[in-house]
Amino acid sequence: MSPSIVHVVDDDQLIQRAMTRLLAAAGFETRTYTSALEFLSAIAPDASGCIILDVRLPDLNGLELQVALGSRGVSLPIIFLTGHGEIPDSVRAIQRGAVDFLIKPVDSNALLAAVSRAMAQDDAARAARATRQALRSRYERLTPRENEVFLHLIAGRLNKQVAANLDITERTIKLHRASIFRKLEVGSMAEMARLAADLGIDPANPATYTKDQ
Amino acid sequence: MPSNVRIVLALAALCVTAVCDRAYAQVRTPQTVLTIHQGAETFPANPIIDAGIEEALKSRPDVPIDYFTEYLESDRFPEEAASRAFEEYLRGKYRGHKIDVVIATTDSGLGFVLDHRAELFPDAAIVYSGLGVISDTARNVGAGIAGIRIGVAYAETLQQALAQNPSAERVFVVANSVTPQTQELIRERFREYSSKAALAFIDEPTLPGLLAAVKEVPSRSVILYQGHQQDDPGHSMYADEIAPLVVAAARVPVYGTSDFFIGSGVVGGVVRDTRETGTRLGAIALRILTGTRAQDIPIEGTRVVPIFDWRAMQKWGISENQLPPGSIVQFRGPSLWRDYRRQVLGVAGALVLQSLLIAGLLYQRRARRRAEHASRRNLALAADADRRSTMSALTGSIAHELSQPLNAILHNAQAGEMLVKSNRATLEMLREILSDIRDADVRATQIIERHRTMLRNHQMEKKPLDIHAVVRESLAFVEHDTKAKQVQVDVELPSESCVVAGDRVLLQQVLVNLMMNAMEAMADTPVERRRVTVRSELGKANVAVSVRDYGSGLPANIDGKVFEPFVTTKSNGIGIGLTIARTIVEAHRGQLQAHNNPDGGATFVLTLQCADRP
Repeated sequence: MSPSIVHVVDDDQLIQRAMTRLLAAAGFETRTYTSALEFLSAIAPDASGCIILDVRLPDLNGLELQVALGSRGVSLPIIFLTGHGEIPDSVRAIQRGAVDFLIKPVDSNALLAAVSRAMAQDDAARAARATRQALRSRYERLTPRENEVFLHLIAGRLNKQVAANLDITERTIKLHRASIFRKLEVGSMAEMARLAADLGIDPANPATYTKDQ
Repeated sequence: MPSNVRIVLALAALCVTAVCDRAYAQVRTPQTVLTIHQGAETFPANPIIDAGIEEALKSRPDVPIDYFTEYLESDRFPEEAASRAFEEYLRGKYRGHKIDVVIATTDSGLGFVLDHRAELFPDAAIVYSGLGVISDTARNVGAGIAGIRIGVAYAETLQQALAQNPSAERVFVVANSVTPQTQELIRERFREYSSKAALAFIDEPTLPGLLAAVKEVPSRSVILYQGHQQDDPGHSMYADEIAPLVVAAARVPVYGTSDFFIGSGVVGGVVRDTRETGTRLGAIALRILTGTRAQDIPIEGTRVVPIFDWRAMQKWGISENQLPPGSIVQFRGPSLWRDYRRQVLGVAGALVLQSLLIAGLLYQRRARRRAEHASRRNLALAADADRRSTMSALTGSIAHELSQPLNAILHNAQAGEMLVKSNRATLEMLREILSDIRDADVRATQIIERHRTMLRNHQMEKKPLDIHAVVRESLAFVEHDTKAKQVQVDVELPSESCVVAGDRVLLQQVLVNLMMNAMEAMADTPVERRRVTVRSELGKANVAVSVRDYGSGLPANIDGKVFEPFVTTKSNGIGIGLTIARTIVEAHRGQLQAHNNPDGGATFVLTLQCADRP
């Protein structure tokens, strides 16, 4: 697991140094970038921590950078630094998952608090991702046939209905179900339904979930 | 945040206090000047000469001076006793005071000062005015002596008296206060006139005696009033109070040898300006206080001026062309009107007619000038207003720009505080923090200063300046805005400077205006095409600065009228900015032109004459 780092993206050297110093004094590890493009080319998909972004960067504007990060699978919380007249942009940023937007001039304590919140959110998100990853690897052990049975079962159908639907005997369905329970490490239908929900599988519309999501 | 700001402010306040303390420490303690006048405080010359001295001493507010005056009344009291009492009085009064300069306004005063110098003024330099001559050896003793030699222009006054009264055969000199030596001096000076007139002294001890003698002066004479000392107990009168009595008693013209007598009825005289003597004494004292050695200041004579009383001239039929060159005529009366009404009316009528004619001829010229002046003033007012509105459009970016250095200061201060609290601060870290705080403060100051010049009212003032520097300064104004509007700015300036005669603020105004127009023209342009190109091309005798955008271009219907007032493509503009810009450029004898580019957008070109290129 890579260490948690505050990524400071700002083209103003004075501000960059000041923020780095402040964050270091508060015990955060930082890395600085003078442009959005520089940051994009340096960031790894599994990076952890958070990003502090000035919304006016000379090459890419902060919101565009956020979209670019999303397409690269980077899901770090972003703290936007904005000027006073830029609230609508910031609202958009929040809707896309920014943890905070701070209006310049930014109070040092507010910045540190926002960074702490972002770090906590990233930790929680990564824990959730790890859990989901584990669930997914269990789910991926199912054979195509077992998956078909699984989707019918979580849709609430009875063994008999599933057997009729798939044109196999009810006894075979029971064997599939036992195998599915063992592979998914669940002990009941209720547990299995919760696992499906955690994986984001909609039983009414199973096509919404694809394995490479 | 407020606590951090307070820390920064407290630090700044400490620095300021330290600087002030040092400045105060440099202020010198006042030096002391004492003037010894002769006679009572009310003696006519004393307040005048004293005012002159004070005026000169106060001319240098940076030289603090304690100024005192004392009056040696040896004229009214037995000299030796008065002198002794005065000495005791001064000794008691100024005990513990170091006196730096003593000014003696008369010979008696100087005598007193020199007699008691060792006890009373051991450290003081002496400045005097008087008839006496001080030898160079005497001048070098102690802190030295400097001064002004007063000459009484007896001969010059007499010469005027005889020239203006050619029939005069005798001169009567009223001078009972004058010493035998002075009388001898007067006789000596008069010797060359002895062929023209005989000299006699009226030396009566009492006022009635004097006036009786004056009454007896026969016609074909003039009287030279040198002064009369009257210390009859209970009837003490100063010489200038006696002057009008002498004039009233005399049947012949009276001339005076002091400026105090002018106005009392004497015809005039070649006299010195008492007040000027005062200011010169003060100026000499000041030179000594500011470091010149007294003995190094040459002793100069007083300046004398011929001054005459217009009324007395009328009475004795003396015309102005009988006066010497440079004469001052005082008390001109209104009798011209009374005596020459018809001639005055005629001349005045002619003058009025002539003036009317001239006024008529000048009318158009004046009207044109006034119009020109008004239009210049209107341009300045309009330019001020336009600049203000441009600046107010940039206010948002001022706030943004300022927030950067302010935030840097705040974060640095907070980081410093945290490091110090947790004992992790090294000297090197704190030094870097302080250095960054200072840099940020300098930047904030520059931002404020830049905008302040643009917001001030401004009168056009052409100076040689590098147009490329002006372009770069103008770019700094809009830099923040270009980022906010995601406009890429390409700057193509030759490395060599180009000097033009221009007004920095007004040319910046034009360029900022063009750049902001360029950005606004691209509001609907896709981000990747939002570019402003600012370039400069040097010609043989001129320089062309162009601002090009990739926006919508100038609409065909207003293409040719873009510089006319109230023509605008902006929904929120009134269309005056470019009109003012062109007027400013034309006031620089330059040109401002606009055209659409073949590949989209518009280009504005500012052409100015180069001053002699290096």
